[in-house]
Amino acid sequence: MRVFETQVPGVGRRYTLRFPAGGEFVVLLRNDGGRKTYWRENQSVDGDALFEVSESESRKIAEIFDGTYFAPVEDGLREALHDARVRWVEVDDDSPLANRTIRETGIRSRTGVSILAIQRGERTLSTPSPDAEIRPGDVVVVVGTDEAYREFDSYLSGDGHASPT
Amino acid sequence: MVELNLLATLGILLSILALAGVTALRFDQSVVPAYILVGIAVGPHAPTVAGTSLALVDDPGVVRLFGDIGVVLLLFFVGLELSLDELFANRDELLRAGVIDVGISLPLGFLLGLGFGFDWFEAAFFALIVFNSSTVIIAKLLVDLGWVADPEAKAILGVGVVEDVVTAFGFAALAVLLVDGGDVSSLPFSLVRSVLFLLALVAFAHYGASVLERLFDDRPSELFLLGVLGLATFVAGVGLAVGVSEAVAAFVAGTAFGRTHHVDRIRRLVASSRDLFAATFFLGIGLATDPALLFDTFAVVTVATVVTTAGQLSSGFLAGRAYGLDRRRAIRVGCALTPRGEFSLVVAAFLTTAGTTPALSEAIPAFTVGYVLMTSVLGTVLMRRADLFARMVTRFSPAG
Repeated sequence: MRVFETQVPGVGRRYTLRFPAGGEFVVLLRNDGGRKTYWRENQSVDGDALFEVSESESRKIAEIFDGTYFAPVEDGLREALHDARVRWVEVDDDSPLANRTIRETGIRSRTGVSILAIQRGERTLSTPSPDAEIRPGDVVVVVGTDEAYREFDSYLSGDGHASPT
Repeated sequence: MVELNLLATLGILLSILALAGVTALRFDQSVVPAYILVGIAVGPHAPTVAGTSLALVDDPGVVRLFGDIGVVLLLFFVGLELSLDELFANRDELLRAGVIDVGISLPLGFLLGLGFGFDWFEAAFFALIVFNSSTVIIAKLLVDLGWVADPEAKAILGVGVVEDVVTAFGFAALAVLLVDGGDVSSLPFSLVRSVLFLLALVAFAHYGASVLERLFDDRPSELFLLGVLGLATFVAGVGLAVGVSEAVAAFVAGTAFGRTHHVDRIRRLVASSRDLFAATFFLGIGLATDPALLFDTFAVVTVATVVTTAGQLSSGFLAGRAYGLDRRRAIRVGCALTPRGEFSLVVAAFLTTAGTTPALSEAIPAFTVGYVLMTSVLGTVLMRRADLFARMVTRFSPAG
């Protein structure tokens, strides 16, 4: 299958998908976000309009085509994570986490819990990079299994220099 | 009658525009002529029905600033959509088609202007007004009719872009010559100033893309919107001050942004502002139009419409053939290029304030309003009936 992309000034981008077995599927990505689709039997006939979808609908269709469509579970994280739990941990001045980057703390390799986000005042750093610094006063959102939390608790309670197990 | 305050008046105006737009779409027409007609119906020259005047607005100046922003944004978007890389991708076909279209339509307009008794300078403005196809109207119809999926869409809009570029440069050149009310002694100075400004602007558009890229990177939406509007409007204002017209300056500013990665974001965030201000621009055109003048120019408008539409149908057809399209699709190109719209009105609005002869400041603008009304409606009908038209042509032509 060959794909042709064309800029249509004032309208949007047009993609023509030419199938080896014949026929062309035309997708128009409009500047306003809508997607309009057409089907052409061959290059010489006119396209028939198929359907028009919004940006979010088209994303869903793309996921279905891609095989990655995932319908969220009703009860949110608690259900989806099975044996893992999410916890909010306040960082005070003398916490072993304070004033170190996530990489420096190495808590994932040491304890098995991962940092999902750092809440700092009004802001939330979601999926922070390993170089993000944890500061006193932050609330760290972590996820892990019960076993990992046992390790994590002992790490927090001052056993900060324990070697990774 | 109770005196309405500005807010209430504006609210009524926008509501009427919305209603008129809905009505126009119901009749498969473009919203542009509908907005103009609303302006004429409620402006200072409004007709009197059953003893009460329909006039809502005594002074077209009320929407003047909005309309000016409309001009800036319309032309800014024309520049923004001008993707040079895309144009150069199939340069040969497009160049052939563009040369044929411009080569027939532009001289035809010029000769027609001379035929109506204008001098060469006035006829040159006249030619720009009657030759530029309306990208706004055409782009909308291409989607409605589904032609956008077919090969002619690229030819039609490509030729439209070529026309816009020719118009922008022609307009800039003519506007520069018009400056300072024909005071010949200051002409060299203002000429140099305008040319320098344009050169600086074009150079910036060409080389300054990376500066814009960084300047607008990672900005929150509302600041991004304000920044783009601010820059476009300011450049346009300077353009107006040095006599190259705000429209041309905004056009070049648009091309500068068109070379950055911000294009998609601008389309998403700024398009609605453009639609709002452009609607008030078309409304303002109507408000400033005296229906009596419109009737006076009716004969001239009709002659011009017949001549230029015939010319455009043939030049568009030949351009389509030169682009490599079959006969039926080439006829579609001809039909699609017939509506006139925003650029013609922008030139006319410029002439209303900057025109130095009665022909430039009154006759041509009045003509343009009638001409755009007629060609936009006729052009829309032609596009919708293009295939019927193509069958007729095929039947009556020997080669059919």
